[in-house]
Amino acid sequence: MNTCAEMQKSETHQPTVERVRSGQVYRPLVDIVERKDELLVIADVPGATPDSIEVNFERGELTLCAVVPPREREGQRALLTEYGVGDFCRTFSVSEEIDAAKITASYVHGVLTLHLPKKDSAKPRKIAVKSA
Amino acid sequence: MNLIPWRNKDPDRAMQALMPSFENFRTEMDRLFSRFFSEPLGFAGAGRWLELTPRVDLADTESAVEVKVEVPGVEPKDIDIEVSDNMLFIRGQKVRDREEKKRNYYYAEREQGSFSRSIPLPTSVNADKVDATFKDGVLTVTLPKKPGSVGRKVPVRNA
Repeated sequence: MNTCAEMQKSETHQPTVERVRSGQVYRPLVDIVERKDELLVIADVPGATPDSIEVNFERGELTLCAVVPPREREGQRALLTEYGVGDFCRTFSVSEEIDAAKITASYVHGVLTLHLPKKDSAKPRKIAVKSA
Repeated sequence: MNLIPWRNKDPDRAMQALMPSFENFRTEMDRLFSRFFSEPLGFAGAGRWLELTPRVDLADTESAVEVKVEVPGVEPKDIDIEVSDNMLFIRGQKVRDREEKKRNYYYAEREQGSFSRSIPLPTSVNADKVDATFKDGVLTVTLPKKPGSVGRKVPVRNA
């Protein structure tokens, strides 16, 4: 992915959507972890407030979007603008093994965590061996 | 598709919509240059074993200098801020929850580990009155300027 140690946001282009807001859209950096009974999607979305984050699950696609207000520049002179400020958006394909109705999300300190529980049929099962 | 996006209908408006992208372009170029010259091995070398360098925003207002840093996933107690006369040091630690071996990672893009940055300030600041807040992953440090360093308006007299 990115080879340098800087904390960096990458831009995204979603040509199929006509946006009504101008400005850059960024692709949040994510960790995706598989646990025994769930998948975890952890995304960095600094600057977004909890109510500006939208998580949608539709036709096997999980979309997370966050609206971030632009920089306020009134009465300020910018001396350094090293990072871009803009909305976040990213889409993932999710397998059918996920129980969409039970997806939960939490947000703390700029990090969005999605819990995607697996369907019962997809969870690992131990099969007891009976002695005959 | 023959639809014309609403914002392109009026040429003035279309121009306005473009302006932020020009500004962004300039910022991007600045960033590219400063990154190239500030990294020990240029683009190719610097790897993840180095300490992270968070990106900052530095703004100058009439009475204060405002520094913003994006550090998602950091606990406020893990951020260390030090101010000297005209230098600001920010140090911190992003929780390494990834060490947990039992987990099975498909993506591991998020940066983890310790970070630090020293930022030269454009003027002397009042170190006793520095205020720092952390909200939604963005750290904001407000550094009030020393009274002497606030610019004074000089009226021009008719001679």
